[in-house]
Amino acid sequence: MQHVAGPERIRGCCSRRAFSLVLTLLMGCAAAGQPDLARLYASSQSNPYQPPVILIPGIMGSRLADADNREVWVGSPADLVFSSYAELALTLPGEEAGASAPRLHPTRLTDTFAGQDFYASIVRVFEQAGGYRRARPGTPVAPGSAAITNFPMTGARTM
Amino acid sequence: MTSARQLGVLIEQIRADHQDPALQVDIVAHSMGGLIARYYLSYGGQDVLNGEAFVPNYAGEHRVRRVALLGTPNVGSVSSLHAFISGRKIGLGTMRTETLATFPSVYQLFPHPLNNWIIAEDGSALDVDLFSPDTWRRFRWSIFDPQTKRRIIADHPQQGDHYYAALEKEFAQQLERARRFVWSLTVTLERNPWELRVFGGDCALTPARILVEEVGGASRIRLWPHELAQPRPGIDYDRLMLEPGDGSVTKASLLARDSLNPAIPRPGYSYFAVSGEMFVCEQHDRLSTNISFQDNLLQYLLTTDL
Repeated sequence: MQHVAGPERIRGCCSRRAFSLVLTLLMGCAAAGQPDLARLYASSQSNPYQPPVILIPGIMGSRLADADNREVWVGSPADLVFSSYAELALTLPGEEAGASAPRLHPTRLTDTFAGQDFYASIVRVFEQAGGYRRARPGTPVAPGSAAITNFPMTGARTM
Repeated sequence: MTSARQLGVLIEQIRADHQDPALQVDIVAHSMGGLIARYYLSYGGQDVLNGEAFVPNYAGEHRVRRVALLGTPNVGSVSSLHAFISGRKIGLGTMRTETLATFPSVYQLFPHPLNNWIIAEDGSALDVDLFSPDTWRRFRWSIFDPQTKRRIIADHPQQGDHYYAALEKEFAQQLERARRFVWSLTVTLERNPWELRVFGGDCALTPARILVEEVGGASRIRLWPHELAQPRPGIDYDRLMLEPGDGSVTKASLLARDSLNPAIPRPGYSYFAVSGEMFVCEQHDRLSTNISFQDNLLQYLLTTDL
């Protein structure tokens, strides 16, 4: 006589299959994750011939300050709300720079601002995973050490 | 070419800091930084924009080993053009067009002259010279908008007319320099002694063309299809105006292509040798934070046997 599975046995069978499917999916999701950059590149940090890196930001990707070292760009979070950044306008040829058009200089890359990361994480990755050390122009670098130098620019204001 | 010259000075300083006059550096450049890097590779710190002859001196040879361009608009950005015309939104405010008009670099993000960057309401390409001041006057863009002009003059008491005239003159000069700049980057090099890879986003629909819509006798520019006041039936404005990219730079501009079909060779006017390409789902300003990009970047720079 052919055995026919009753309703309870069918439900149990399907439940087990569904559970297995869900478990497989969960295991797949957990395995995807994020790359562990420090572990991936730990062994490469001993390369004594690693060329130094220069990081060049995008337009307006550098903080700018005036002659009194007051930051004009990006400025404060309040500037985001109230400022039109008119003081960033360059003096035109033939005009004299004055209070309305202060001479500005780049200070550093815009690492983070208003809680948003711009270049902080990429620099951190170079340092922590890539084994690079932050270098400042004019400061000697020890032989065999990989260095990263940021290149803050006046950006949009010159080319 | 201040930024390119400064980059050259920095490279020489780094060589001195390492006590190695033959040292090569790697460059990681985001967005416009990539245009500076490309200019430096070909011309170093020399300013070739005062003439029409663009003769590369291969300054990057022996000085630069590898370059990573991240979200670089190699044939320009329509989004940047639109922001220049309308003012760039920053936070809750707007950086006005008359401020942007004093920034030389912003002009150099304009779409390449050979790109189909402007269309009419019926989808047909418009033959418009973006680098001619007459175009800007015709469409009343930026400082040539009457309301903007009045504002500029009012903001400079006692010498408003003089300031506006000076700004107009500067505008024309920067347009011309920008024209030369985009062409200077489309000189095919005889050799490419450095490695160059491009990284960017290709998940976000990104403005690729602006559309000129005639409304009430005035020409209005539209960046996004939903901005059209009177879209014509049967025209797929999404397909016409938008392309995959990172929200600001299209994939085509990143790759210096006018077709996304990899089987079609890149046009000769925009060709520069690329040893690899990598794409992520990320917005333009966030590209450098993407961990997949960071992973692939380290792999690229730390590999010794490319």
